[in-house]
Amino acid sequence: MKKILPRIGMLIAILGILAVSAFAGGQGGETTGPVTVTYWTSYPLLQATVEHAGEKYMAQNPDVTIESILFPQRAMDEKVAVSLPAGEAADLIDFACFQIYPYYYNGYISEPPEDVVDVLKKSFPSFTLTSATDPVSGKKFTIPYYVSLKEMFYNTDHFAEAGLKGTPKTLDEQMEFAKKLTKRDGSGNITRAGLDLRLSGGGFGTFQKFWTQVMVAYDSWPIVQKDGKWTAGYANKTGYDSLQYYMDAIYKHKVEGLDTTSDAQGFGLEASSMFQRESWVVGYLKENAPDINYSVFLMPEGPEGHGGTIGNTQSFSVPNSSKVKRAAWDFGKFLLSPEIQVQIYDESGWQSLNMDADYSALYKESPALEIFMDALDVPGHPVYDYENIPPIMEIHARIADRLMIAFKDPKLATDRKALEALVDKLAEETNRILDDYDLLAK
Amino acid sequence: MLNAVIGAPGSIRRNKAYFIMAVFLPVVFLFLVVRIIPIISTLALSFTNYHMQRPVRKFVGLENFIRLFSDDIFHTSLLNSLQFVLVALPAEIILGLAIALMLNSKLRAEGYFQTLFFIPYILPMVPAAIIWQWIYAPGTFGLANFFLEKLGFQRVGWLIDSNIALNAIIVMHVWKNLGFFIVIFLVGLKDIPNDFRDAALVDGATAWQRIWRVELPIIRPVILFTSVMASIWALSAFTEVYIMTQGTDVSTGVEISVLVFQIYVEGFRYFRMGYSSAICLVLFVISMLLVLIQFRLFREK
Amino acid sequence: MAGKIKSGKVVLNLILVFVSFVNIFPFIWLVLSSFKFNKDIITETPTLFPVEWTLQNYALLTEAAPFLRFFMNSVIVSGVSTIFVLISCSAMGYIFAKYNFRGKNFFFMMIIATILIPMYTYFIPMYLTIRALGWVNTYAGIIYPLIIMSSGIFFLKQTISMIPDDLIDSSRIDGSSEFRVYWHIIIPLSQSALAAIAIVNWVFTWSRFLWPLIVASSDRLFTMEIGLAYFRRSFIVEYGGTMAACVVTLIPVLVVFLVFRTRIIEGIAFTGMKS
Repeated sequence: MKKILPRIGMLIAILGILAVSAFAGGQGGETTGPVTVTYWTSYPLLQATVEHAGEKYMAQNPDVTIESILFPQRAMDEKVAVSLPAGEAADLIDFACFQIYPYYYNGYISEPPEDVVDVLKKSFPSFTLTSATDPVSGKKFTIPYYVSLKEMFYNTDHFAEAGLKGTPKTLDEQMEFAKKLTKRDGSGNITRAGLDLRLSGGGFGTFQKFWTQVMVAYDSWPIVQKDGKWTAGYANKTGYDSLQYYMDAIYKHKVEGLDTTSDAQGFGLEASSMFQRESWVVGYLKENAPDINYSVFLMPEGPEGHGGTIGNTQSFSVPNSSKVKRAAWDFGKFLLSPEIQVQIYDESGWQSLNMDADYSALYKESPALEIFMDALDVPGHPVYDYENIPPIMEIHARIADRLMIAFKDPKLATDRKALEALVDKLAEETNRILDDYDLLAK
Repeated sequence: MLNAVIGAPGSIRRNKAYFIMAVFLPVVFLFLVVRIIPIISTLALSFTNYHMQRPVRKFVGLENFIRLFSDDIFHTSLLNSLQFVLVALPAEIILGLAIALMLNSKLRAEGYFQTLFFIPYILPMVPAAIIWQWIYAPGTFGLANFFLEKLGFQRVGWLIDSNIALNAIIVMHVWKNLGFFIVIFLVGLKDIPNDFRDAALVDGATAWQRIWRVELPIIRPVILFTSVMASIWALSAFTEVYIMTQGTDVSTGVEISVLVFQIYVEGFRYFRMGYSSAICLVLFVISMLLVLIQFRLFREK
Repeated sequence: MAGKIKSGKVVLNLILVFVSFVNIFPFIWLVLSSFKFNKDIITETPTLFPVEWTLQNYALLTEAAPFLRFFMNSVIVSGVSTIFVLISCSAMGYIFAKYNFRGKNFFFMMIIATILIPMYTYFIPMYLTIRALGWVNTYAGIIYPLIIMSSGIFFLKQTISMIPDDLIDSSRIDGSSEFRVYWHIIIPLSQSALAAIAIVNWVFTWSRFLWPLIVASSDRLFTMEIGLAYFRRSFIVEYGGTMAACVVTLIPVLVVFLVFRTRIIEGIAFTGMKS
């Protein structure tokens, strides 16, 4: 008996620790009185910007607290996937329109109020309204507030050195320019890629860049509408030619290598002369490679004169489970205001969308930013976004996975039949995914 | 069950019963709640079409498994996982034992060596994988190629070449875990009563004979443990594979996928939890088989 | 004879020095790189020692995120988990090693089986349980799946089975209760194993990433591992900051290891058996 008592005591102590720690930690949404609006994002600079915006907002609205939380990038998708259906997500979620769409489709997201949508209609480019629209009901389901618009960065010094005048207007010209810009070492390894292409990396990014770089110009589309449903749109000459361009760049003209340092990093190290990216590179270069002289040209057109680029919009959405919807939308509306939109472009480097705002101060510092902003509204250069259907991300990610392997296969560059077979196989998979979601046109 | 506590007279049996009530039952209960029941729910999901973004799910029988059959990416990941075990397991056991035996020789610097070998193991996986990603980076930017070129060799596409990439990751995996095995073997070797070692010395046995005839057989339970753990860890390798597919300058993707990575991708990237659970079930069966085989092997010896 | 042993030892030492150096080289690189500027890390001509030493990366740590808070959180999670694990593993290990009852092997296999399944495959059911308990965004929620360690039970079983039965039986015959046997015989004799399990569990729980992230709704509860992920920014890895954060993360783990290391070396002296 004497032994049992201390044992029970230990047990109680342990249970006690458990109980206490259960109540320690963060306080849930049990605030009385003033309202707290939580905001989640996975982009660090954006979180900082929104935090500053939050401070301004709180000064004007003393009974609202804005809590802006940063999640590590990949983890945000998982976090939302687990907590949103369970009703435990933030009040404002920063996601791409197409990323939040499946949750809206399944009933987890609340519709934006009219007054917020009106701001969009008044001051934002028209394609953002398309991005925010549910193709099924025609209603708006989210509010875009910045965009990931892609154009071509190029090193003006390299161009001058190679005797190149102007910038490429077509894909063929771009390849010619690249050939003159590429530098190699004694063993034939590429030391400077004329045209840096995104050939690898996680997620659907690789295919996104591919889509932007070549498919739009060849008028090739991952999915196209048919009979009220969808089907893969690239198992044809446009798709074959798109892949051929990449393969030629790597294996025929050798303006890009599999093992070159790429992306903003590579451009900053002068390991490339041209590459496709978004406006945040401006801030990156300013900080990490201030001596690089560069500018921006619009995505080149294809042989049939098709042009344009991809600009996937990022938006904020309010879950149905939020207890402070109106407060959240009010803060969201604040993020759409010209003042804050300029702040977003300036501090985070991400491209804002409010056409009524005055960005001239930023342009003085970095002229490239003006090119990006103008690109939102150029005739013959439409801006496209992802289609709003639930499986769009899976479709893109799976294509990306297989493309990454294809890029490494030199045989595909010369064997056109094999290349076409591969593209057809990709399209089969795309259609299978569409079928899983009952979206395949038969 | 309590009555079946065999081979013990009266009060000892009662004491044992108390101990079991105080310890065994609560822990088993915890296991049920924290592991068994969630695992069973997950495995049950493999027979549904559960999708994380969709609230409704329905029973679909063996559909997920039939699909796995024709999924070429799943096949790749399955083969890769098996390759992982076949390479990592012997490497970790043999190297681990060898180094532990070396360390067990009453060296003065033993503590330092132990620490040095153990450090990769306690280094969190994420920074370890980042460092290795950087070591394997293409061009002269990566350390491995940098040294190779300095020594006059051609640079290797460690992560680019599909044949090499998986092995490169396995090397990292072994490097990381070796410290654990060394320490575990050391624990086992240290726990051998000194009498046995002294007796062997008196008998005039050489160090090698002592090791082979006396020490290894005694620590057989420990070797079984390490073998099982090594195979489980090889099969559940995830973070090392995951990190190597991140970033914009890495060329790996599907070709280094392993089973657990596929489970993650299908479940948390594409949100197909039903399908992901099916892969999980396959992994479970394979692991269970591997473990049972090892238990059988070690018992018969 | 003595001379032979001496030179053998010298050779042994040399081999070990070389192997351990190769083994630890990446770690040395990590530490040295944490004192380099970013541009010196990501360069075509890397050097071992910093071209210019800087503490900038460490300063970055305090700015970038509330790392002290993350650190405390990791300590709490790992600490509470390890306490639970040490108690449960040693007691269960004892039962499995030295007791006999119907169904024992079944339970043992069931426990082993749980090692085979990676935790995040059953995150969702666990999350829903946490939610029902009201433990979302609490320490309890994070620690919930970490209070037991199947492989720990396995390992303790294996090492305790090496303890001679006579030792235990004689104590029982002397009238000790099982708790006494457990406390005075089993625990001291499995010190090294327990120390090893403590370290392993500490490391394992410290490196949990996805689960704490899913449970926590605000960064007040984030752990160091999540903090580390901040440096892997959207498109560019900030190596300098990452390296510094890694070094800082390593320190408590190293300390725990050094504290327990002597226990591991001590081993067991079966002097009790002789007397």
